[in-house]
Amino acid sequence: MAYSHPKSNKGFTLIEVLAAIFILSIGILGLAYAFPPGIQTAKNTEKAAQAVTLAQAKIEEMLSYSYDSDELVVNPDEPNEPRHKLSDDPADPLYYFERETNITFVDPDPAEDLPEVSEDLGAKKIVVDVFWQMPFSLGDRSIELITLVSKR
Amino acid sequence: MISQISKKRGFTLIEAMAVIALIIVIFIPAYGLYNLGQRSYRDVSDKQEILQNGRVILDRLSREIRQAAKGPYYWVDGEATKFPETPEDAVDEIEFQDGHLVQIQQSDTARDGSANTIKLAEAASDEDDYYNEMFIKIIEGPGIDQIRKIIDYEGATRVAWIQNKWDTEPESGSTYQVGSRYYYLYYFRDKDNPIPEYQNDFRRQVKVYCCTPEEDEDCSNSDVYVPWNVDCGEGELNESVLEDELIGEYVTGIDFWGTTLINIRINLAKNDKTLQLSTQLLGRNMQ
Repeated sequence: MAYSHPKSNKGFTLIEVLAAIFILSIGILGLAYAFPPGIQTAKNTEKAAQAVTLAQAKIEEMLSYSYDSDELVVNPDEPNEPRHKLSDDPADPLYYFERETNITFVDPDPAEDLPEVSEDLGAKKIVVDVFWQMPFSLGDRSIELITLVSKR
Repeated sequence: MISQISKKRGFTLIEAMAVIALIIVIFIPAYGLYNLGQRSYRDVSDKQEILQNGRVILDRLSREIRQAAKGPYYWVDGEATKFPETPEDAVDEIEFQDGHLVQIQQSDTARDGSANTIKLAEAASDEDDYYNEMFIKIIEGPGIDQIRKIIDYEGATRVAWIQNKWDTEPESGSTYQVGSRYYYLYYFRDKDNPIPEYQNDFRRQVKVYCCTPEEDEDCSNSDVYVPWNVDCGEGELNESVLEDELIGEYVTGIDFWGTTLINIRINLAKNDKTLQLSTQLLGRNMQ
């Protein structure tokens, strides 16, 4: 009697169990892998927001100078503000940000698309770049703000 | 009998353990995943919330500092004091004169006057109620040096009604200025609030100052608002808060320094998430 339905009592083989666990873990790992990019994106949003405020700070500072002042001098050889860390203190949140500012002459003629020119035609373009490092060495990100100043 | 017993057979210990083992194998990672999901959600929403609060605060401040007329200053023992120049001496509040209205809206020669009206020039606005709540000052001719609040204005006739009667009626030929209200904006962290959870609130007040005969009066009966640094002579300088609103939470610290180019550094925190935003704002019209 006990052997008349041998198949009905048969359990899973070890291979089957292993295969099931393997597939299950792939599924779970697959889901788990979806989280870090989400967290990364959130982190990046935060850094980008901080970077925008830092770029804005520089733009506001530049706008406080008059067109012909030394602070707004156009130097084709080097940036107006060479790329540098905004803080030397690793405890300071600004430590992770670098900023560079470039100023060029542009042609203010509305018919043109503000091309860069080598001589002063009465308008300057201020380009502020802020760079930040992503955690886990995921590389550099940056944002750029541009503004124009004109001769009065 | 034996077959009856075997039909009622339950699980063996091995089977039960196998089931428990399987449940553990499946549920622990599943719970881990659920937990990770919950934690990520909480982390990200906390972060976004403080970011959003910081952004709103900076947006409000930028808009109004860029327009501001006079300032910025902060209060030391009831004395309006200029801002420090260095971050070491940074202060945590800011007050400045609201510049959203142009200082002088309209200046011209009056065409008529009565006990409680003045007829403005043809060039004045033809829109009803346009100058309501503003102040008019006679700067030359009959009725000179009086300031009154405009309570009603009729565009078609250019007639403005004032709150309190003139001492001396202006006449045709009196020169007037319609100017902005002396409204002041005060931003501060509510650090002295007795309820600890409100101490990280960042608030904005609209303030006015007036000269009153007595000390500790408010400005509700006054029809003339004055600059914050005016000399009231015999009277007392008093202030009233016209609006008081919450504009951001989770502010654990805010620093202001610099006079024309104002540096702002905001620290925000919620649970274990922190954020620092730093920027500069140019108060182009500030003096």
